[in-house]
Amino acid sequence: MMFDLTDKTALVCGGAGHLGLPVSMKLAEQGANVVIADCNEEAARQGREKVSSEIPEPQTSWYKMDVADEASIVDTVGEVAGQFGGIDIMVNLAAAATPKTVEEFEPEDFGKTLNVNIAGFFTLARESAGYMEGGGSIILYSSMYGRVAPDPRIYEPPMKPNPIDYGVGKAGIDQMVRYLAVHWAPENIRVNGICPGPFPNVNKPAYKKDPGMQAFIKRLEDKVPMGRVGGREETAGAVVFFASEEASFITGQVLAIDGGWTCW
Amino acid sequence: MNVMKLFSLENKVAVVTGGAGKYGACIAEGLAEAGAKVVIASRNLDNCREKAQEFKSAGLDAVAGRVDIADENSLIQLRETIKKEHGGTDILINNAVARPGGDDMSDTEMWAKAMRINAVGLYTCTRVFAEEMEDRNAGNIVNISSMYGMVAQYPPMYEGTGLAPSKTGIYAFHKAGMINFTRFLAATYAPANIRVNCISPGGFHGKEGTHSEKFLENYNRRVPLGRMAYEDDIKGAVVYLASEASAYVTGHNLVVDGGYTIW
Repeated sequence: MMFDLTDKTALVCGGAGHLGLPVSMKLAEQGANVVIADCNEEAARQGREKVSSEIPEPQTSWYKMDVADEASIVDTVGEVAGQFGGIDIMVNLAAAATPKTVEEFEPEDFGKTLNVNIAGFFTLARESAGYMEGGGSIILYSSMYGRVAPDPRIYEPPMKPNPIDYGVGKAGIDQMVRYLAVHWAPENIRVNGICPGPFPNVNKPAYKKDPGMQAFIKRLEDKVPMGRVGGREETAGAVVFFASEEASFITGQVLAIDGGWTCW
Repeated sequence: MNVMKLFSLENKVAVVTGGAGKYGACIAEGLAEAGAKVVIASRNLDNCREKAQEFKSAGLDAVAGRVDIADENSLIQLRETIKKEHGGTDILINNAVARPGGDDMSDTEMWAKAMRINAVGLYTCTRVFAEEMEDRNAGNIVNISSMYGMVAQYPPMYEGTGLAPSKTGIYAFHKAGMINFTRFLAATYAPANIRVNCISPGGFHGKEGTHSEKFLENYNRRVPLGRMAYEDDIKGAVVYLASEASAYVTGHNLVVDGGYTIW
């Protein structure tokens, strides 16, 4: 069967989130054991419960893990590998941002957020690769804002444009994908990226009730050739693809799932 | 939707131009394995029939169709035949490519011939099938480009192989053009619910003995994953882009090159 992940173990960091939960579900549907790691303990536990209640077949587990904390990453990855006898797939959907304009931004702010967006991604990838005996697939979440700058006109005050530490971190992820892909190619560990476009969580009460947020979504939609924002399940197929043998010759690539945002 | 349904091409009709060729046959096979009825189309109907028969013997759904990309009437005829016999074309794979050459042709003649097929033909083929897709407000187009549409050939690769690098750059020109033409088409046809994406594969390994030991040694050294592309390497990418699994992906160039272009 194409795209089969039976007997594989997938660690999904941020696997209970808006984009992360559908990823965890689809990996499990394909037969992978799924471990949800999240800094929000309650979210991780509930996400795991949702996956295991809908897809009882593969094993599931959850861990509280803080991507900003090296020790937390090292401990969690070690425990996951111990529990499942190794790791085959690691997906990292984490991100951090300081909601400030360029004028408000303090240089020190980079310390905190890039500790997640860059250092945390690196540590989690390296620790996971250490348990990928015989090969594996690492999938890092980048963003369209790692490739193109936010158009300030979309963000009417009091909104602020998507902040700089988010975008530079995600641009860094694109290059981290290429660098690590080359570094681990001899071990047959593939490293690829997902570059989502606009995926606002439209089910949040803040979006549903606030006419300002509705107008914001309309402005996002106007920037997309396909004329709509992305649905939360629409990145999961790419993760399954990259994780599977069907992508066995693909490494160092970042796949844009953005309705065409970056193509015109 | 269940993820296997997302990748399924059941009840879809896919046309693969150049479908009997080395990459084309792999693409057609992948689409058929995912459930599509594939129309293997090229100028040589006998080759297409032979390939379709081979697929049918393996339990896949395949038919042959004659088409000359340089001839608009033959494109319209293929489209109408498919419409009549199979209900219409859901997926178009622009895979056919001309690499004209030979001692009897000047560089200019080669360029002119390639333009007629790889540029004018690509445009005409896309427009002919997109017209029908527009009418149905649904469609999916995948263009098969190449890593040589992104980076230049590496002439030292040919040292000691008895082969020579291209003198004309025809292939580089057309494949690079195809990548940005993909973005243009994606933006143009998005309102008609037609997605357009591109795949840029690396060099194809082919059957054992296709390339000399020396060439493989030179080539593989340039590739992080250390090898040329095998027959199955393009299947997953084409099925992903042709299916609902990529419902929000348009205008993308998906590179399947073992990392050739990333370092």
